[in-house]
Amino acid sequence: MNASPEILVLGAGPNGLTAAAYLARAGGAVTVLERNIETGGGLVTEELAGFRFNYHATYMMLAELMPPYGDLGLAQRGVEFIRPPEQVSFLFEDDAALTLHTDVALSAASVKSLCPADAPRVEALLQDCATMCDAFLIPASYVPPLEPIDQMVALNSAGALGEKMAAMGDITPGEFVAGYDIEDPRVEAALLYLIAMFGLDPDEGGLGFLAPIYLYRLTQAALVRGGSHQLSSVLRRVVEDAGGSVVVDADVRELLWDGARVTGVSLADGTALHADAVLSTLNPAQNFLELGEDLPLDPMIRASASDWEWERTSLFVANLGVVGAAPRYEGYPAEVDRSLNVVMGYETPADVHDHLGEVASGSLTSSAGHGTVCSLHDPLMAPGHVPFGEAHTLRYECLAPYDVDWDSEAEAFASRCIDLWARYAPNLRDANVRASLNWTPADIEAHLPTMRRGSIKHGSYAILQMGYNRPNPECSGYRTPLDGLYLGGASTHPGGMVILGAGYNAARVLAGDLGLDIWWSEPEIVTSARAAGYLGD
Amino acid sequence: MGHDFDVVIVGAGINGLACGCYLQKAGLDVAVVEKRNECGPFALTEDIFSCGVPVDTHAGVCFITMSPVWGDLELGEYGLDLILPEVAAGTIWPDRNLIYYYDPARTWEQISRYSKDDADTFVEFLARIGGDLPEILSRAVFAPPTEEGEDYLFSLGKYIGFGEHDMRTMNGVELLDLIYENDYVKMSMLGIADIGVFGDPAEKGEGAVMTLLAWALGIAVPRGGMHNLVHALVRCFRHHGGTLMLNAPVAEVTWQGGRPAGVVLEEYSPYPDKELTARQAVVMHASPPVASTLLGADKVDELDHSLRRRMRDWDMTGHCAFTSYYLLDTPIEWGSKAWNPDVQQCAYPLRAWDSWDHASRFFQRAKNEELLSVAADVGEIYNMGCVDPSRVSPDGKTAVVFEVEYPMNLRRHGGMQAWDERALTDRLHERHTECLEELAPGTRGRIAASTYFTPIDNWRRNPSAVFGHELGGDVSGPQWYLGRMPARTSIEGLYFSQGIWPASLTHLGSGYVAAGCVAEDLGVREQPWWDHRPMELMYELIAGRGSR
Repeated sequence: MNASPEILVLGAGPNGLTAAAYLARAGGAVTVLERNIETGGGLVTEELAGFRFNYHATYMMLAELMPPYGDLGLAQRGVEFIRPPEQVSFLFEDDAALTLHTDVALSAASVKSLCPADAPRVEALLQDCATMCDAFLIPASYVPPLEPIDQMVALNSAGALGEKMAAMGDITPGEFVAGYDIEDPRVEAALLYLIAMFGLDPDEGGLGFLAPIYLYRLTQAALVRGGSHQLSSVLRRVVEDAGGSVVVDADVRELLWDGARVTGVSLADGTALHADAVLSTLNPAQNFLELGEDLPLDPMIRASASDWEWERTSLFVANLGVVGAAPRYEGYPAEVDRSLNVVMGYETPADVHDHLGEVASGSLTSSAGHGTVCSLHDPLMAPGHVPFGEAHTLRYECLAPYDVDWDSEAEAFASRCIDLWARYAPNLRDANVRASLNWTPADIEAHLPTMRRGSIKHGSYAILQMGYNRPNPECSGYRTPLDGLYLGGASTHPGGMVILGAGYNAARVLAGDLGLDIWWSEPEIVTSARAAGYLGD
Repeated sequence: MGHDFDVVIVGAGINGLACGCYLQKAGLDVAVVEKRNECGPFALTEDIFSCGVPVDTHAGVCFITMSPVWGDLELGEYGLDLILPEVAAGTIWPDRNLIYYYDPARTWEQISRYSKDDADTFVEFLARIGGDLPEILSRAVFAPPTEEGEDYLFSLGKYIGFGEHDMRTMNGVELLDLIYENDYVKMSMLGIADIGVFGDPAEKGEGAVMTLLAWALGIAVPRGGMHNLVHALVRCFRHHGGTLMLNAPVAEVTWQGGRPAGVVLEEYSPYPDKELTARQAVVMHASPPVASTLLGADKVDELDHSLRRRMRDWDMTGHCAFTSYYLLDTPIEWGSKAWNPDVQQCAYPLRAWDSWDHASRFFQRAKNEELLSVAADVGEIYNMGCVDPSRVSPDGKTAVVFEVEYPMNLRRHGGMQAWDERALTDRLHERHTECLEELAPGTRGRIAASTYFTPIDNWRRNPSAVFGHELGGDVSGPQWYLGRMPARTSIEGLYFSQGIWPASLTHLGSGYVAAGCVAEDLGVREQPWWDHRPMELMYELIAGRGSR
């Protein structure tokens, strides 16, 4: 290897920092350029009057399973995941509740209290989901995507489980759930909400294969101790300790090119930065229409960027710092009080469908959502040292439309949301709120412009935007038709949700192309999936 | 990450960090451990209105220009960019103002509008003390307190015509009454003194000294916000190889053979190894009550008598900030700009009473907790947008901050918990808004958003700021100068960098003094770079303006 190749990474979100960390350790001269004055992207934790709020990303679906966790030594540097055993409780009328635990048997026991016949069905569903996630779905997140036909061939030649998973590419997530013949509408509604809560449409054709990840991993969700930002600040530290640099307040305006080669970027202040490779974690519209407006690209790539679909639903979060007791769900089983997420407002599958439909069509409805008390699980999240009553950091989150005048609506909407929460947890009515902040779809876009129209995954999960098609067939392998330009954000496989797959995969491809030292080895889960034939040749 | 260090510093406030920078740069291996997920809890800049306007939520003015730390640590090399505003300081009333410039001739003109004699007095004082300031600050501020130092402090009256005995027996109000004739001049000078950084103006002795010293304060505005001071310190510390651990709450200090051996982190910290070893020293950058808990009652008992008493009786209830924040659609326009329009360029104007009679009785009334009757009579205003364009949003919005010191106890309102009651705090906030409206008619109509932090909010933010106290404990009476915590304790290897002299402010004096004590004891004080003098940066900046 000659002198260290210069690499520019655009965006210091979770994927950008992950890619930068691997590449810097591999010997690249890495500079991460971030438009904001803070790094971390969606991993934002802000503090108001001592209460720490995760404005955005909060629930880590894969946590320790992410290869960077071990490869980059994140645990030693202070990344700890907290996984409450009571994961998600669904509250229904008449004081009925369903609590899903990390332990499938306990989840089944809770289902039994609502509907004995459904207990074995839910147990089977969750176990199937776990099996499929471990065998294929999680490993497939940490390798580049296969062409759909090759993926189908691989799965179909890999035994019964493979065939079963291949078949899920023909159904909707909702049909996957329906396949288990759940009897109690409340239980089915709960399962559908797990799919829907982060914008996966249960009726989206061909996405049945994603259902197990959401159903299983959102019952294994973890918080980052100290707040989500701890994950990104440790990643940043890894980059810097490996000799990379992170430049904030760097407003990239243009990709520079020469012939068919991207040679660097220019910033808003006119600075030109040259590099051997540019790895962008931005969205397709930014990459191909805005920064790369003049790039010599196939018109098909531009057309796919113009047609790129943002998610039809975004999120609204009301953050509250209160002095007083944590929410007590009167009349419900005590385990609900300890649950990581408490979901309110859905009684039947139709409620979930209706809510999604209303939000997608732009109406502002506070009929349902979920609440989390981060400080119950992590004392660092609230100021426990002041002796004037317990202090808690609360977060209410629900699906919300983008096309709303949030400036004028946010406050009243937040108050309706908290009213809903207080219907189930009456002690919230008297809560002494010492700090609060609403995080609306408009705020998401303003603070994290890559999430255009509040699209938290940089573009919807639809079959034509997944895997080999994310963001388009020419670029889904992290390379682009232009030498020197690579992609690696949530608009590439395997998408967003802070699973770090896109940055991890892109770093591997780029390191190979630049002849860098690939110092890390394939994770065991990938090796096993490969051996089982799920990942092709 | 190694777990053995030469020095462990508990608390990443700006002075803890500064202390860490010195020791690390001097060749020691230093860890700074911080409970919060950010450093510098009282030197933060935040987008509290979520609209792209950075707001300094606590410390607003930067005293680093008077400090040797700037040069020793080369903070300019680590991204701290300072603006020296045209207007040095100012006091505003609804119909008039008193503006101070770095050019004494221009200041003289302004004071002379009130009284030519007073203008002469002030400018002559500045001329006499000017050249001696580096020496004065070296001995009086950037040095541990000693009995000789105390004599020296009281000798400073010579610059204004008073002997040591006069200084020891006068307070600030009396001193001002003796040297100035005009009430506005007196109120303005008392307002500057009341920033409260060197003592209480109403206390005998210290009040006179601190009133004099306050005039030596030079201010600067960190471009982009006060957090750039923190960022520069963090970069400096890490550049020299220091270890900074955030989200690392300390559970207790460990002991071996009668001296501190390190710290243990709380079980709920995210670091897998909870024990850190400090081979040579532990520096407590925590207020005395918090430090007492971390050290343990047994160890506090082992401290010498006077230190033990200080730790037990330490008062942190006299100086707590209630801060109102306003997001304005357009820059504020002071009513007094007809008097001198330069008030519009004053980043840090003071509001200082309406009559000298009122001012001179103010301190007693404040102590008596006549809260609502004294509310907003005196306060600091931060209007950084008028000198730093980065504090203004693209659509012209900017923030104005109004900070007032109140007593914490609130015995007349049912105790300090009353600071959590909206009925009271909304009234105070409204009083602050009224006050701004009096000073700048029309402001109310320009407020796009407003919010406030109470002393308890500040305490929740900063665990070391017990009762919301911003200086590590009152700096007056029995806790003044020789009565403050010592940087070097009677236990070998145990040091304090908070609660000491000088108070923990943005001149980083307490970090400087603590670092000096540790470095001397460990034999690393002699460093070629550790030789800057106070005021060097100030003189450089003023020379750069060409106004002197």
